[in-house]
Amino acid sequence: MNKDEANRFLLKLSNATKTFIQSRTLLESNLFPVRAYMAVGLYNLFENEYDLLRKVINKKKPEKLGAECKTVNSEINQKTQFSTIVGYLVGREQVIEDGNIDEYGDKEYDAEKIMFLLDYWTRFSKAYRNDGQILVNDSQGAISILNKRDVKRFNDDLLDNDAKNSENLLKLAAVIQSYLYLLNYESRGGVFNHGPYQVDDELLVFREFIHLQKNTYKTTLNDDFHYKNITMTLRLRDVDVNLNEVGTLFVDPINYADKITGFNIYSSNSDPKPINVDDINKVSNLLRNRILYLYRDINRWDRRDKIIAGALQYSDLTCYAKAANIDYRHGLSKGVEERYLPKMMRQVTHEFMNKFAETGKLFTLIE
Amino acid sequence: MGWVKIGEGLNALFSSDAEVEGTVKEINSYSDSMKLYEEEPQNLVVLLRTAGVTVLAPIISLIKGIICTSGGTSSHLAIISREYRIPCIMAARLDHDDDLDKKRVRLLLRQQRGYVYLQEAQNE
Repeated sequence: MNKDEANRFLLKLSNATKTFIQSRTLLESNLFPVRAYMAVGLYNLFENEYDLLRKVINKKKPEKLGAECKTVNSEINQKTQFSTIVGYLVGREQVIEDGNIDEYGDKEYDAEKIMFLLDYWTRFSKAYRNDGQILVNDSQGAISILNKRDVKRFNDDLLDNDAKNSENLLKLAAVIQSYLYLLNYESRGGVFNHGPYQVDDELLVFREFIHLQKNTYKTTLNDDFHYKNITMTLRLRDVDVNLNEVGTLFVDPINYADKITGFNIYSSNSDPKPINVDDINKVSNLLRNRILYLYRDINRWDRRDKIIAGALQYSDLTCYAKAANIDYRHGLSKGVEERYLPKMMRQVTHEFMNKFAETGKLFTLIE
Repeated sequence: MGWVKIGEGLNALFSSDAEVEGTVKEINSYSDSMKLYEEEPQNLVVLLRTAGVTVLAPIISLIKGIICTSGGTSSHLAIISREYRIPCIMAARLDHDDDLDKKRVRLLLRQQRGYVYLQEAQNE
């Protein structure tokens, strides 16, 4: 990728990122200092991501990594790709806004890093996505990654629907997401959807919920929950299905329980095993208990704890290191901990975040 | 008693229509939520100033309607309201913004918009 190509890509990403942020606005929460921890996390991505992904790519080409991620419950997916690359770019803009970009090398090195990351994402996407696109917006709201054989396998495995099961299934999806938002400090970590895959005149959608057993930065949860990941397959008729850049599912109409013509629910990773339908409500109740425990525990944390927890969540590159079998110890880098964490302890929002609402390009072009 | 329109915003349920009545409780903190968790009120409509969803985590199944004065249709609060199919109005602009606690309201969601009505007698 040359500089002109990279700059065209940056302009396109500016628009896509603004569109994404404007549909949700910059998030704030009554429980977590989201804007502050996001800023710290993105500084951390900016400081660490390039070096790590260089190591990853030296061991595994983007094309191979992309092909390996065409599975159910892949930890690297469209959401992690978008968040990781855009996160780096926002972190870079924070540093530019602070007036510190020169400390990270000259303009040529800055350009080299951007070209590398965008080239990596392009090559990964060509192998990962069935249509080879990079942004979801370029695919009319679809994220198609599974091959035809896998789609057929899951479609053949669908159970017939009845009203009670579909209601319970959708309730479980709702409870899992409440749990995961809390477990991940108000971020979308652990939630991803892909599809829709056309099956005859109906649509097959995959709903993935991962890392359900993980602990928080400070909380050790008990081991009564036996599902590491949960995946739901839904076959739908007479609905509109759309996804955004991070794989959030939009189904219209929202009361789509009676539009489900087949479903299944699985646990585990790449070789999913079905969960007994009679256990769906039991799983929901277990998660409700965990939500209450977590909620009470997180309330005892101070602002610093919450910023560190969220920043670590936002800058976690472990899945990339794991994919290439590289030693990697996730944490805040020294510079982030000593300079940017104290800064964001004093601020609600980083100054750069105001630019999401302004006209003009979001990301500084390379020279 | 009639109803008077006091505000409107975005229909978080997109084009799906919905209607719900309930009593408003503004939620700003962990304590607000835990109090409601203990009380288990009927017909609860929550008013929020921020579009995060974690503050509602233990009480979400009690909630009949949501009014949020910020955010958009992709905010976490809107996403979860759709998952639970709770009528929800995002980015609401309200005439009686600071005086809704314990008041009875009706949320009317039509196409892309959501409307908030206050039961008239309470407004006198």
